[in-house]
Amino acid sequence: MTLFQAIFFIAPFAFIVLYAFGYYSRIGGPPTGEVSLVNFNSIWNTGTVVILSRTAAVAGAVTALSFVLAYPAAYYMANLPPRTRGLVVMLLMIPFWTSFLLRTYGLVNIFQGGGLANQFLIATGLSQDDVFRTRNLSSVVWAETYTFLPFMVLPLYATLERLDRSSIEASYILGAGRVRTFFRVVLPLSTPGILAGSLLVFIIAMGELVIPTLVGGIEAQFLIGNAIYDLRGTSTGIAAALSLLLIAIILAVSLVYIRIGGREGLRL
Amino acid sequence: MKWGRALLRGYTMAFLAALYAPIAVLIALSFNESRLVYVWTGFSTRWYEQIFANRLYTSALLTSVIVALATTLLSLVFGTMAGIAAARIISPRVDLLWTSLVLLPLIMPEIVEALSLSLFYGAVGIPNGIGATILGHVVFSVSFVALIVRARMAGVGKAYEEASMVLGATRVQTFLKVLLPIALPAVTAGAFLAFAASFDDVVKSDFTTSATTRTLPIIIFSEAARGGVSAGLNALATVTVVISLAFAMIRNAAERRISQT
Repeated sequence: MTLFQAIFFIAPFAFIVLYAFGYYSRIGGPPTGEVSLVNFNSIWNTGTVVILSRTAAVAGAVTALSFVLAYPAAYYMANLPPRTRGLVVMLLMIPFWTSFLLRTYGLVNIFQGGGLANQFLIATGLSQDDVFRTRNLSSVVWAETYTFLPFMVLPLYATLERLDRSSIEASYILGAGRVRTFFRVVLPLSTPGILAGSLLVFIIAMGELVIPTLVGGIEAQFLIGNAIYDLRGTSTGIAAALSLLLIAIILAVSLVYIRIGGREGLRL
Repeated sequence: MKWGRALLRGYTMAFLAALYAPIAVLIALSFNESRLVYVWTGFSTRWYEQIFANRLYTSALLTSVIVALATTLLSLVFGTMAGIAAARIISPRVDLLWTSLVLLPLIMPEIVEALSLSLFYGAVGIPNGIGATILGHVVFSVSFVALIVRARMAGVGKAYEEASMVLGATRVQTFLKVLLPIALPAVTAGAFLAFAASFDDVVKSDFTTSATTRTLPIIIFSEAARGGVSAGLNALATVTVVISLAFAMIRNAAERRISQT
């Protein structure tokens, strides 16, 4: 298996590097025989900055939203009696392993212009016109938030479930109210889950291709995953250079997280 | 206070329901008779008849199943060996190397992995097609199997293996009659994971399939990206989602059984 990974994971990765540094230029073509920084020069411009900042903004928004949406549910689930907990975890795991493509496609059915949600709002008289629209970056944010929720809720649940009840009781005995206990005890103690969940969601959202393509319309081209995809055939070297950039960002973010959380903190 | 708890309960139930809603809607709409997706005119299976009469779709379904089965088989062979071997790694350095090799394919953005794989295939001269797709899928599927098997074997320890050797079994016998049966529940769970991961994959398949070996998710992806929603596409998506749902449920049951033993 190590050998297999070496051939089909590490060796291919070497080719990204070779293309990025101009040693190859065309897929299936012969090597150019020289190494250059041309591709990095051509991504060194404002266009790349726009792409990176939009991708990071989308990924950041997705991470924040999924945290806010997932935390209350994870908190409630962690405090259920053990029998019910097993059932609830199963209910969480099943969508996790069902096709992300099809869950996104299902969302398009509901939220696109003229889709079910809009028809419902118009039919009930709550609105005159389509409320939800797809084919823009904010619909990408919502669709990714929805689809990646399991990645956030599972680590949160795992941390909250193991939370030491006695610290919470101690907080009550010492006179803290519910709100104060939550913000001063429960929330800080769930840091490992928060870190793990948000790192996972952020990383996945940074490199996502399928969801922006389905719901992002023309604006999806401003995301790095789609940029790499669109350039892969015509400007393979540039696509490879962007890939290296994406990996560098992901590595940097992960290192910062590990610094904050410690290696133990990120255990899933 | 009671209100707070009730609110949280309601929210959690809505949360769980929401996870399933798009799939439920998808399945319901696929039985709509009307060509206009959102205008319900009656129950009908005509879209299913239509997609199963279409060679493009049936052959894509077949390709998907073949790719997923082959991926599962290869992942099981490599992943089980790697997982059993990993449980006896003592050196922390080797352990770190193993863990990075297994985790990296899962953490690396799939678009980057897929691009690198297609550049590699281009340079070595492996043509796109079923074989190329299977090998690409094994790269991530094998990690799932290896991780689960390692977790299982780490809990078991070396005692059984040593007992078997002391009692005179050969290495091969020990592997087949002692280690493998112990690992079996994890191997089963890993198999379902590997299958599901391969069966649902879009990005890597997109880079490695040829025009005649497109998988079902690729067809759904490209049609949905081009034309959005259609009644036939809803039926096709339902077929895919039902297969992957079934696998997810079986896998879950298998994993629960492991945790009980």
